[in-house]
Amino acid sequence: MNLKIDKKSKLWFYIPVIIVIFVASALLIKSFPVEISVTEMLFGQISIVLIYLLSFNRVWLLRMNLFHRFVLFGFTLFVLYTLIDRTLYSVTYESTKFSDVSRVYIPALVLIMIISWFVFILIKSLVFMQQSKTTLRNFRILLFLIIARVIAVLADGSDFVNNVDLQNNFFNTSPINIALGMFEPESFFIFLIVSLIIMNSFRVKWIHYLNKRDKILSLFAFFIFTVLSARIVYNSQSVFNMSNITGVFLHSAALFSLIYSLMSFTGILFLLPSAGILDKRIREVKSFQQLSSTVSSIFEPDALCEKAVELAAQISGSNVVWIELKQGDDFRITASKGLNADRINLLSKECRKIHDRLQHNKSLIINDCRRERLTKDFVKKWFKECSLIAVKLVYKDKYIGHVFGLKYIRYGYTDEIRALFEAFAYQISMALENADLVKLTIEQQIYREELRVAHEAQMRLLPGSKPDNKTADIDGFCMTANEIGGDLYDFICVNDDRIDILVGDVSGKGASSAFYMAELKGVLLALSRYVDSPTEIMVQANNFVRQSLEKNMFATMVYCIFIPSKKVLHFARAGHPPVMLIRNGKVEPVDSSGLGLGMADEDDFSKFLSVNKIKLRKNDAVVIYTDGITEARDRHGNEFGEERLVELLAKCSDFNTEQIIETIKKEISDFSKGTHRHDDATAVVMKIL
Amino acid sequence: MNNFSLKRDDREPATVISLKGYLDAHTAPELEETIKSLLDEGKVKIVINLNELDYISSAGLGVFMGFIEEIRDKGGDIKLAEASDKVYRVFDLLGFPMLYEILSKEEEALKRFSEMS
Repeated sequence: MNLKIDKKSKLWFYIPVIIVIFVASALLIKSFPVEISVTEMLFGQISIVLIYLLSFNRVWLLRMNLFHRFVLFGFTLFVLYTLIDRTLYSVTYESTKFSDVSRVYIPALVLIMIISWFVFILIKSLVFMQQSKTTLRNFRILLFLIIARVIAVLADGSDFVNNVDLQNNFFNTSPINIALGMFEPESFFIFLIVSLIIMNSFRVKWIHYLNKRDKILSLFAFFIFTVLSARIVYNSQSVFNMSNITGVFLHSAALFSLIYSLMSFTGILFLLPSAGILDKRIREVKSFQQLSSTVSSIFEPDALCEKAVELAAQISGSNVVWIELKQGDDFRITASKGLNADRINLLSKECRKIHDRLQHNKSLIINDCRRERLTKDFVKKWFKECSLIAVKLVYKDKYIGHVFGLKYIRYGYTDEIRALFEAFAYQISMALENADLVKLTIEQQIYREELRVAHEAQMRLLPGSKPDNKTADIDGFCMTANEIGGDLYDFICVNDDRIDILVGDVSGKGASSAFYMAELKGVLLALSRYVDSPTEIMVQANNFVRQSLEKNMFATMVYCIFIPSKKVLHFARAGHPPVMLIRNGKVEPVDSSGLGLGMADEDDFSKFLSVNKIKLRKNDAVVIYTDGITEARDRHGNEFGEERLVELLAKCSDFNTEQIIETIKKEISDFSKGTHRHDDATAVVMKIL
Repeated sequence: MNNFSLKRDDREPATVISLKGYLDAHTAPELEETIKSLLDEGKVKIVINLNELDYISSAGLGVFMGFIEEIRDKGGDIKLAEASDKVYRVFDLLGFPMLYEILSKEEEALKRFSEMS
């Protein structure tokens, strides 16, 4: 408390206080009925200041738990009691003249002062729990009054006068006497002090934080404290006999201790019947905390439900609890407690009748299951009597399951428990939803990783290098839309004077088309070795596609055979966009007829398939592309289209292969900027050198 | 991206399915379901009205191919009608005109069916 003052101001605060205590202690020591030397005086003064300083550094006291403080309190009172009752009392009975009091008892008196001070500190530590604005003020007023009383006695100069009147005033503190003697200075002080003590004694908030067991223990403890304090108050007259100041101090401390103990005792006594409720509340809060921390640490729905069932049983005091989660139209019991799994299964099936009743309500309580139409049949079979609670698990309007609780008594569930159960159900729903999200995220991550691997595999299927040829510079590219797609292109150097070029597109998107693409590539690679006509290769490829692909899948393809020595390009086109020829700054689509691969049987397919031949010249360029290029869309949904491609290629007349590829790539990327490209875009460019 | 919708109209002598919007890998299953249910009902004469179709992808084209053999085996057919130039170009590239009747008017397609039976 006042320990938090920073060092500098603390020093300024303590110096005057220490001086005051130093002077006060001189007066105190002088008041003893014996001759005191200067050394003794100084020694006494320094001891008192040190004790004061030590008693102010009470961090150790604040760190103690309540129970230890009680033990300390009891011990202190006991020491005080023994000191007065056993040591001094006997002395004063023998001789009531203070002149007879020997020096030997002075340490005892000092000890009594110190212990009385300590009693104040101990009570203060209890009073100041959960302090309010007025706590400190009230306590300071009380201390001030006690000090004022001590000073009054000192000023009176009548210390060590066995003032019988004074004593009588103390021990006849009946209300009437106090009221009558109110205006006498001494009685007035006592009246004020007792009032302040009572005010301070209302500060017993710590009682609320005791659990039932501790309350019972404290009740006994404070009973003993009350008795001890009463004894000390009564016996303090023996101290008055020796030193009024010590007596006043002790009397005030003992009075405070008596009233405070009595107040605590009464407080505990009154709160004892409801002690269980507080304990329950604390248990509930703990369960909730536990659930919240479980929520953030368990992402496996079943494990989560296990824990939730455990905690739900704990807070509601249910004998049986189970959680069932929706799975399609059915319910699956994810966790249960109290009965074996078969029994729970049967119970859950019987409880389906209740589900309808939950349609418009969050929860439902059946107080006496034997009298309820829906439950009486099965309950009579299995249980003597029971009450039931059912709560719907709903998260963001999504209905995900139920929590059921069963108690083997009637009227086992109060509205309070219902509210608790509902809050609990919400937590569980949220947790389950979170668990789902985490699972989904992990799955997505795995999926993404798999896609990445697939994408890499697909990229490896595309040629890694350009065919080595002096007549033509041939290269290609593939910009995939999703991570894996169905476009393919390849160059096959069959012999020194034949390069096969193929560009194809397997319908559909994603994994399946990529697999077929890989398969088709293998087939074509094999065919190219022993078939030397594009049409024949196409017919064979068509047969393969018809056999292997699903009915609603097909492939489009351009298959070219380039003879470098003659600069001739033979090609067949199967449902694929036409081949573009760039010659003298002009672009000419070169077409030939042909159905897509897999669209018709061999007869029909070959009937419509034709082969085309282009005689190429120096600086001619041929571009073979897939529809991903012409069907690329901009943000407004406009297609790139064939016209735009023709225009673009017209500008590429003087470019080399690499430049043409870069131009097309850049143009398509720019065009579809800000959109999600929906199809692979592939092109092969051949420039005659 | 534009949405896709289709309208089924049971008429004599054939059922007309009018397509609208974008028919691609995402929307193709809807058309597939519709044709499948027609087959289950034993209706094998189908006219596809492409008047309001903006785009058709390879997956969309695949739907027709997936069913044509079964339909023709059962004595029916799929006829396409009123395709825009752009959509027709896609059909043309793939060689659909060689396998399917593509007519300029829905009525013509219906008339063809009447002539058949």
